[in-house]
Amino acid sequence: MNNIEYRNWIEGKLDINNELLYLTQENCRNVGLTNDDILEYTEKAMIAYSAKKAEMPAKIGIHPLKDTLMHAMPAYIPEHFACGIKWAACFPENRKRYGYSQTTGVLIYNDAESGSPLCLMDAVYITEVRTAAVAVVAAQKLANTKAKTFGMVGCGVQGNSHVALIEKALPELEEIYIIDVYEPAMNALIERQQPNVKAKIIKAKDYKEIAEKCDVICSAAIITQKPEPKFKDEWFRKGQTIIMSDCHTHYEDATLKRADKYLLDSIEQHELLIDYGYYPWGLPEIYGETGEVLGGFKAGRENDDEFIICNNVGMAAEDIMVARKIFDLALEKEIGTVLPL
Amino acid sequence: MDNIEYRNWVKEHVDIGNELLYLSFEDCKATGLTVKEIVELTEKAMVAYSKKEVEMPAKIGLHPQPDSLMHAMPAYLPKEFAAGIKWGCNFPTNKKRFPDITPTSCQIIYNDHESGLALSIMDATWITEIRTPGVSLVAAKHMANLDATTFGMVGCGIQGKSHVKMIEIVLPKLEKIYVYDIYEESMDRLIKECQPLVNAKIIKAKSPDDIAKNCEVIASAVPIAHKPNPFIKADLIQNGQTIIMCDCHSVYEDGVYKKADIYTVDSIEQHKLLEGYGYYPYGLPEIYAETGAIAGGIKPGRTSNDQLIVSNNVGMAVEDMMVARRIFDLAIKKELGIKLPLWNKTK
Repeated sequence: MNNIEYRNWIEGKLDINNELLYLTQENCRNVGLTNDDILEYTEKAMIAYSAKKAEMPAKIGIHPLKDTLMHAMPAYIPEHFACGIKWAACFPENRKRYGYSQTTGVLIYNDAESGSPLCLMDAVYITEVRTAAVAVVAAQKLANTKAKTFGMVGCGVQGNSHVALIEKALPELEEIYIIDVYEPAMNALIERQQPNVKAKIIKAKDYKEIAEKCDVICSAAIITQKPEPKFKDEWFRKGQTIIMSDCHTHYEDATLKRADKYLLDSIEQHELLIDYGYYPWGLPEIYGETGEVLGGFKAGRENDDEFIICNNVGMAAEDIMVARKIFDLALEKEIGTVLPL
Repeated sequence: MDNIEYRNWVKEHVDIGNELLYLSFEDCKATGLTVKEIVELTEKAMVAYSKKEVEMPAKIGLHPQPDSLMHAMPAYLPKEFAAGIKWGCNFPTNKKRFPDITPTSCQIIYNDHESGLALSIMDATWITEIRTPGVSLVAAKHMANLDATTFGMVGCGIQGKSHVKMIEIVLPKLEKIYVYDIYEESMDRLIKECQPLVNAKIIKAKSPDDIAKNCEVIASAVPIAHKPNPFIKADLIQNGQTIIMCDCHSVYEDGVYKKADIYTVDSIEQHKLLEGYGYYPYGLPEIYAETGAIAGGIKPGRTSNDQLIVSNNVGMAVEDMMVARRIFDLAIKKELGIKLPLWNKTK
């Protein structure tokens, strides 16, 4: 479909500019988005971004309470006619104060031809799945895909999604080691994810065990303003792959600086994070963007000995691409509520 | 009401965290919020901004079609407990490609500032339509000669019409309103729609020069060109005139801005950014103050009838959020809109 055909297809189901589709979180979860869809659309977004075929200004935000943030994340991916904005909030005290989840958000998906809004949807589900998908597609190209062991730091919503998806990249996994500062979170992850994966999920004794036993390590814990390294540099060896969804939080500067290849999802975004103080020791030399490797513009892993680190903070382009797929599926299956504009 | 009392009041009507209130264009209008109130709220927001009482990062945007824009405009007003974002689109290309779709369409997501949860998603096309001229009215109120009998409007689109309909709120002695647009039929439509609503006689200007020569106060709202192609010459603009723009430097030659006795912008930060993006190839003139600083009495506005005053306002998210809170509150009271579940299936 070209842009006009896509628009006509939408118009056959939704009266653009007079109606818009509303999708709750449950609607989003039930449109039938498969893990392969999530990986495919996330990857497409990362490649388009790194090929400079996406418009995505650096996010801006407001901070109503101490340590809270609300981020405006617009993106337009012309090749896929996908256009819109995610408005995401992170209020760490929410669970304690109100019983709400700390991360919430709403997404507006627009017609790139006329600007009219097409769909309002909950963005919690998208954020949950696309963050892990970024790490998993990165692992496909950067990790030794024959890896038998995987480590997961952080067992929250994101840790769960990572574990649920990781075998898509590492099909020969035998053991998955997990760790969290909060023991019940580890137990809950095992209970939820063991039925979904072939590898055996094991509670790690400590960070050292993860570093020493795992070929590939992902982390998705709370990003601290300054890194608070839990892993000692001497525990790592050649051939390992480290993928972070939480900046440099857990690693010593020496580890980051001795990587054979160090990649970022968006150089622009991470350079902004330097200004905000997240990288007090600076960024290591950058090999390239993750999307450049995914798109084949740069080589990924070239031999079994390379020590590779990939640091991804997540991008609006991924949200909007996954949103397009959710919207398309919802229209096809007539899911959601049509509202008057 | 303090922040907790306000939140409790909201919670009596909207189950925060489980549902949100959806307000369409018609729902927003049905709140009964008057144009005059919107102008007052706009002024309050502009003053709060210039007093640095708000959080509002400079807007970012997308540009899917030629000269189109989609702006992300978040703002937080701590004193009003109002937080949220406007997502505002303007696609001038719609005129030719999709004549039935207005160029402008905007939504606001209004949030609970205590938890970040969405409280309401509302149409913001109506708010934008009123608050944009509202900004010009605030500028005119503090910087124009309020005895002015002539007003000029350059650009007769949606914004031009709203300006003409609203201007007598601050310039009650107007006798003649000159209007100009490159499309003759836009002028005709404006006159047909607005003449019954205003006391002054609306006159079709023969040319932009006609406006420059005849009007004490001039407002403009034409599509913003990335590179200005001005059509009003600097030597036609005289001392004593008040020039208010919603369209950056699209209309006048650079000399007009440089010779102004007072030149204000609504947000220094935002206009400096626009300068960086190339919208002001000749640079910004010396900025006397922010428009909100004058409205708030921090700096004097017009002090003599001879001053040439130019005020350049691009619009700010704080204005939208200030109005959004009021609309949300009124909608709750009047039980307007549709409550939507946040999590659970709608069907």
